[in-house]
Amino acid sequence: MCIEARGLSRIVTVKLNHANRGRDKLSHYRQVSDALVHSNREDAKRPGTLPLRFSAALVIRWLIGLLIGTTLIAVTSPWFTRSYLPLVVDPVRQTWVLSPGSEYRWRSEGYANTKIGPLGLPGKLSSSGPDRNLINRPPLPADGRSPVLRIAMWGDSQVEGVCLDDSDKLFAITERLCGGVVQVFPLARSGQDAADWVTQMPAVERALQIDLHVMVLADLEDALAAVQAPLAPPSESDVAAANAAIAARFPAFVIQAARNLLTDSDGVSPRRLRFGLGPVGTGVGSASNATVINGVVEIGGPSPVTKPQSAWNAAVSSMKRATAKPIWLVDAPVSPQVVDGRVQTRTLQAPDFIAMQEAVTQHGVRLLSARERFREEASYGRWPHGFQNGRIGSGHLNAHGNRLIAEILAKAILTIPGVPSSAAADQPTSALGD
Amino acid sequence: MLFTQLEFLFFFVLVLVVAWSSRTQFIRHSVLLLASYYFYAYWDYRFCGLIFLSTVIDYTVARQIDRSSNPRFRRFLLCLSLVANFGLLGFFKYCNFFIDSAAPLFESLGLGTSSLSIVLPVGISFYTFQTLSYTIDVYRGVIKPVGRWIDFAMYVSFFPQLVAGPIVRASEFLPQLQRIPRWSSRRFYGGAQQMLRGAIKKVILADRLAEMVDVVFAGSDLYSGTTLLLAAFAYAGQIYYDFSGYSDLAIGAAKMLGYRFPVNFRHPYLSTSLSDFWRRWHMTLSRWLRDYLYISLGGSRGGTLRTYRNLIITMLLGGLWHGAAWTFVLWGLLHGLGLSVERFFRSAFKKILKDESVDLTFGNQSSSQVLQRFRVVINAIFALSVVLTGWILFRSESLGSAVGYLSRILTRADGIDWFPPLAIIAIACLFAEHLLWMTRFRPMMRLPFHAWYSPILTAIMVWVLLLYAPVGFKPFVYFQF
Repeated sequence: MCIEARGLSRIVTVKLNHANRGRDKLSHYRQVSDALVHSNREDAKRPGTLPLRFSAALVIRWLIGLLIGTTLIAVTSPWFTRSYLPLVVDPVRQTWVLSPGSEYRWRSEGYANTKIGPLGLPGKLSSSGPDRNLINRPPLPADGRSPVLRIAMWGDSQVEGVCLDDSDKLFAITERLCGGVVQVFPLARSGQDAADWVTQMPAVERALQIDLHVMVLADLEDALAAVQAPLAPPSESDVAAANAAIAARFPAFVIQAARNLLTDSDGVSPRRLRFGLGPVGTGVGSASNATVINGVVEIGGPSPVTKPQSAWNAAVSSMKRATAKPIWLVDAPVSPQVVDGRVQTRTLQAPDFIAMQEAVTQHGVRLLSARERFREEASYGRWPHGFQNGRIGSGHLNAHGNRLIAEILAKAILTIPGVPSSAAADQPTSALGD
Repeated sequence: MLFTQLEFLFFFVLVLVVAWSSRTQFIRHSVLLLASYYFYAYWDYRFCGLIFLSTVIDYTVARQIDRSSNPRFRRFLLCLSLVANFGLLGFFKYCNFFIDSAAPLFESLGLGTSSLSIVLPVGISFYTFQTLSYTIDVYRGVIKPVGRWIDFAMYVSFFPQLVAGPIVRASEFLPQLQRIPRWSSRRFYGGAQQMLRGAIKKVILADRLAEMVDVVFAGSDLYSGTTLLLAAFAYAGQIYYDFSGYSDLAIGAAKMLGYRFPVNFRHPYLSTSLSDFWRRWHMTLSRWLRDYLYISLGGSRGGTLRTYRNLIITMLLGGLWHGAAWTFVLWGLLHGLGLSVERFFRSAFKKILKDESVDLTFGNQSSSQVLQRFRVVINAIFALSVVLTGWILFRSESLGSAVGYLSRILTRADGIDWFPPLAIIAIACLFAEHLLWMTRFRPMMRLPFHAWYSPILTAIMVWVLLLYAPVGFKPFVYFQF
């Protein structure tokens, strides 16, 4: 390229010098054009730059080569591309789950493989404590007290933890920290909110003999959806059904490529092409209730856009109606978060937290919060969110973040009266929380 | 419109079909001119008028200059073109910079100031330099003015190079418009391959590095000095891949349409000196600055001190061309001083070699050979240091943050806080690409059509683009200039 350009430039200059000696414009340009054509012909004579002559053999060579290239990508893609597993409807939970017995890969942040257990439980294949049977509870002793507390853990992708090894997932750490006195069922599913959890609660409670429901909320507003429960059962017309069919038919790298091509940057909404003229809008939103202190943005104080207190009350009330078992809410926001180089922290004065606190107090639901602990740890550079290959301080909970929540949860579990193996195990499990 | 947008693919295919099926030159040029204005209006139609104005002024002025034999009138016309072009550039690009810079002075005089809400038209720096080069070349008698307005309008607004170069000279492009280019499947394939390489450079490598660079530069207080140094290296890779990727896309697109653009990058991080760096980095700009600024200032003809002065002024203005901020001015100054220092030591070194009284025996080796090697190594280290320091200035949002960044590198060299593995892979690609270029495998990088490995690598590159492009909209770095 460089040699060609230099040659071209030299020819052009030489011809231009000739032209400047008084020749007319037209002949000047014709000469330079001739020079260009001549240079192209010279290029064509050089070895390695032969003119293209199509032949059947060449076409076949190209087809085979393209196939080999695609095969190489197919073979190596599991190292870099997440998997797309066919979803199935779990008969107990009545929702779409990853097929039990399969293995799920996550690659965009935190390289991890997750084995899918019964009921689509990510990472939970067997019981960790004395309760050997994962699903069915052994017969209760004569006093009616179970040696193991069975907890249903609900949440979204933050709690599902497919970007973490199974031993670093929230349910696994909680079980370890509690020393085998609890059996935690990871029922969290990416994209789900309180409406899905509340819908599944009664059936799951019966099937797994749940003693306690724990909802881990990355965004407190996810709890507001509880009022929409119960949701309609899954049907063949669901988007998930279509996705399941696609996942069953095509390799993951093809699905990923098609998804990148056909959807917007969120990976969900269909890509919209714009062919109209500009100007292009550059609206940038900002948190209006944020204050900046030494580079740290604190989100707290009155907010102009909040849901009314009644919405929070109605949501918690919906949850309570769905089960007779105790419910704990765990507040685990994506905070502190690095946004545009600034640390954004959600404080205990944030409007959503205050509203939720008031609602749970009214309904006797226990609320645990990890936000202060998150803030403290991040100030020492130990960020609860983000991964080495993503961005530290944003994204999903990492192993440290999960451990922080598990510590708060385990501490709460082990200190309440009624936990079977604790020192004060003299009360029935119904004494939890309420 | 960005070359990496899906919309561009549809637009470009349509343009290719219509352009290659055009029977006459007039139709072909009209189509390309319309396409170019649409390409620009896709960003903001309101600024198409500026390109049109610039085109009309320089087309008319150049013709009048050619017709006139009165030197004073010719000089007046040249000044008119310079004032008009620099006036537009100055208003849109530098108005707020000068207001903000002069604000303390006005305030001390008790006068209030307020910045204007001026949008910087994309590509104004590039097309202004192109139109100016045309008028100056006509004035100098290097070229004759173009006959048809449509040819000149196409030269100014031709969409592959409109918004971020390469800065193509009239003498290189206008002769190509004298006849319809002949179809060449070899050239078409070469252009497509170059576009593919450019897209990989931009979307996969530059944008991956940007994910780290953006975070670290925006919150440099949060990271250790070692992390900041690594981020500076990452930025060196990002800006190279971003801009050379854009140039590849532009050159490739032009090639597919049957036109040739000059090369803009030649593996700049292989430079053995700072002056060598400028012969390899943004070559069309350095050539422009050399021919129309440095030489106009006197070049190296007026003695040593005058040469240093000219170098510093040229680079200072080159810095200011990049952006209206003191960081860019300082970046230019740093390079100007660096080039002067390098020139000083080069002449001092030559004197030592010529001085027979100095004993230069060094073991069995020829003393001059040893000294030459030593000089090359020192020059390369010096060039890398200046370039890297320059990039920190270039990327920082203010002088204060640049100074803070540099001082943190020097004083807080703790461990690495964060360095994403994909950024390491992208930097490894930078080294590999530069090293491969020095070996006999260099021709492989062009993926010749007949080579057995070309279809395999082509398939891999297309899949990589589809699979691993980071999400989100990332414009080219040089769009802001």
